[in-house]
Amino acid sequence: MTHRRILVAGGLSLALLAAACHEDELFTTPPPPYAGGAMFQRYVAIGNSITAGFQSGGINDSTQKQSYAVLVGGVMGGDRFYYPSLNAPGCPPPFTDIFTQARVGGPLSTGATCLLRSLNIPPYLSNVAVPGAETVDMLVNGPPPVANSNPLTLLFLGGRTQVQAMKDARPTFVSVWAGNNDLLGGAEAGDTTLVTDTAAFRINYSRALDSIEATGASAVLIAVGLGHLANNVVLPFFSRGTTWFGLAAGGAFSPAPFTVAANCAPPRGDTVLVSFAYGFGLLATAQGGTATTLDCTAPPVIEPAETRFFAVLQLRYNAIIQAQATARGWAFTDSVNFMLDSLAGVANQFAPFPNTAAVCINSPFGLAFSCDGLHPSQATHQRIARKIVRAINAQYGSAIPQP
Amino acid sequence: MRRSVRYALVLFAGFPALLGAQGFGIYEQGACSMGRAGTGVAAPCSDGSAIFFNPAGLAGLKGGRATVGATLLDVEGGFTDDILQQETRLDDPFLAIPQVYVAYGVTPKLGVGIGLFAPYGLQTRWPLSFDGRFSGYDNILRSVYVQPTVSYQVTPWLSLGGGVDVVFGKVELNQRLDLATAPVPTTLIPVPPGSPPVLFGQFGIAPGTDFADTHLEASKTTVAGHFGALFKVNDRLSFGARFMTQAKFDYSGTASFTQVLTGLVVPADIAVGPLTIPAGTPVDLFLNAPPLSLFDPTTGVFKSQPVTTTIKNPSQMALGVAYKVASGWTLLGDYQYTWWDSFNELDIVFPQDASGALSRKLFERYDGTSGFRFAAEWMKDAKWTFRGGYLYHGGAAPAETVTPLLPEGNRNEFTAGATVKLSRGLTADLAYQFIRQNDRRGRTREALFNQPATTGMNNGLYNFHAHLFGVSLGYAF
Repeated sequence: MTHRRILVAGGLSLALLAAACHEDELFTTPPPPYAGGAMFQRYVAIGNSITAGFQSGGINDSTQKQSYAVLVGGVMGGDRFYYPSLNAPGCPPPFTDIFTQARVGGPLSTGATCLLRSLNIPPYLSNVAVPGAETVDMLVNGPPPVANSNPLTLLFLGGRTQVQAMKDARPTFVSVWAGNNDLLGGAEAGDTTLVTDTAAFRINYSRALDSIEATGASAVLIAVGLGHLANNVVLPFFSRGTTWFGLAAGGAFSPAPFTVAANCAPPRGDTVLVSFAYGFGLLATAQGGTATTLDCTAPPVIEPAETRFFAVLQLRYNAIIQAQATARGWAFTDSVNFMLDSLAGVANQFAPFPNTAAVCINSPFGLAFSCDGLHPSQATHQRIARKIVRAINAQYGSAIPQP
Repeated sequence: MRRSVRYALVLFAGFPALLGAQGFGIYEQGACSMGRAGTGVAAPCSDGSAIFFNPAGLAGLKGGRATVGATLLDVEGGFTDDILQQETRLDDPFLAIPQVYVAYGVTPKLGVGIGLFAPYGLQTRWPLSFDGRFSGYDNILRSVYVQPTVSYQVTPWLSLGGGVDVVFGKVELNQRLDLATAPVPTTLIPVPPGSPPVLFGQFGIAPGTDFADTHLEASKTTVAGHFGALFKVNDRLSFGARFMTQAKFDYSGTASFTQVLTGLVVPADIAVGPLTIPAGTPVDLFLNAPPLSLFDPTTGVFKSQPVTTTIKNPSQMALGVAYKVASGWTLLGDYQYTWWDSFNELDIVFPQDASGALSRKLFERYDGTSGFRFAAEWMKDAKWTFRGGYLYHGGAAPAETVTPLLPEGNRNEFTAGATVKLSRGLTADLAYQFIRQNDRRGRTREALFNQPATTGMNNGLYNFHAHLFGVSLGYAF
């Protein structure tokens, strides 16, 4: 009997010992609770230069972290939002003065400068957007005419496509803002044949969405554009022929032998768009001493019929995107375009003509845009992020806080 | 006959996964002792396993004992990563650890014997989908001890024993190499002295891009010693102690590499140092064509070549007490200390690698560990003996070194066993042991550039438990 008691006592002691074994090291700080819910646990952003965080003709870690995608990822409160951080000064470094072509990093930085990714390689990418990407680039890599890959395609995705990188991240929520470059490439060149036709656009876009749907993720699809061309809202990268004509008439370009043709005068000139690259290219030639004339019928200039073409194409693209979102039960938002439509009417937000006296920190293209007239400024990225969060909350009944 | 020979070879080739002792130690060296939770340094089992559990225990043997046994392992474990919350299960096969003991009482005071056992070793096998494959997906550390032993009863209350261990060691490491963390040769992209090389990951190569499979294999034979003492205070109470010295292996072997195709294609012209790699170039071709030619069998960085490393099986000591209560009951308790702090750094050196890119330094920084073992044994009658026990020991690996190679930690283990006398000379032992290791945070990757790892690299939770079955057959002659 005594022995039995000893055994029982021994057994109890052993059981207590076993129970007393702590696992203190497991109690590490838990991740913060996320605000949006399980749907927003892992957010991935697909897109192009805007989504990637390209600003002022360049991209580096400083501009990448200002992207609306990073801001949206931050307030979703899910897993960490990883972007392919580029070492300073960037690839290429952003302009500090677009008129002198000075870039971040000093005199050695040029448009060909390209620093590599940071040594801290994230386990997956949340921001898989690549500057220059068109809708086809969500699915395929390669040089033109197959696709539009560039060195950043490799540096960001390492040989994968955006869709492959998105899948690797195992997303629960995806934003897609693609199609701007399908239109912009033609607009910059003033050539309507360079755009992606709507049939190809529909195929590329829907195939990318099929891949997203296959992951089980939900999505928000963002309409093409930074303002509605149909509402006469034009990126500050483009100046109207009328503006050029008026400035020339006022002697703004003298003493350079630079003239603006009468076909740029109102009323025709009101709907003629001259790109910064083309107009200032001619001006630079004139400032070099060669007499030059801006002709508002020259091929690089967007003439009224072409302006209408691009405006209609933007609406068609967006109709396709909206239909895709509806069919899949996803969120669609055109609110970014409407927000920029409104902003265009606010003083100092859209410069009608670049302020050549201003360096980049003084926003020569207006406060809404960075120093290339094409890409949103940091403040506009924040406005975009808010619009997108509102659209997500409206569709999914979530309560993601405003960034 | 052929089948039994093959089975015997399998038995002796089979080696443990993560077993019932600290670090890569193994304490299941006999079914009888296994049922006792490994206790017995003060009262070794009579099956000859005293050669391992206390060499002094052979003194006083009457006649001879020959025992053949094996411990069968069913190991379950895995890793759940923090990011994807996905669990990867260990892929360890059902394994067997062999033991052979032959002991003989030459005189009432002098005992001799020889034993074959494996007190250190590990095998961890992970599926190739596991992120830890870049640390090692199939790792084997094998140490077979052959120990001739002599024991002598100095006085009626004191016996001393000792043996020389001839230790046959083998190490095998299979791992994948991740292109994302591979350095771009400095011949292509020079870096200032003292600066880290540029990594392919900085060109966008995603983590987890396998580009090479590495197989390292080396073997070495060395010598160690094992000593024991047994104090019999009276017929009921006894104390025991044993000490096994460190076994140091200066391994020398071969490393071989095989290219694993990434299937990646360079999407646009890209400058890599002075080179411009044109769009459409397969990454695999870039790696295995001039100027890199990484896998060239005669000039490539990844040609087959010698590899060396040093691994120490640490010293271990055990102290024990045994007390015969009455009516066939015996209570046993052991304390064990293993000097795991000798397992500090693992230098894997490739003497022929002029680039220095292959050599690795793994900072293990293990701690010395204590184990506590308790058991009770009941000799029911001349035919049956029953036993059970419990043991606890801490983990040798510090929090920053819990890796796919050896994701060990604190363990609670429960054992039960029985001996049955089948005939006058024939005895069978059966034992069962359940190992429950506390879940433990760990990592899947090694630090870059041979830097010491930190707990900040821990990226998930390892879990582990195992069922062990011991069986042995003894013959008294």
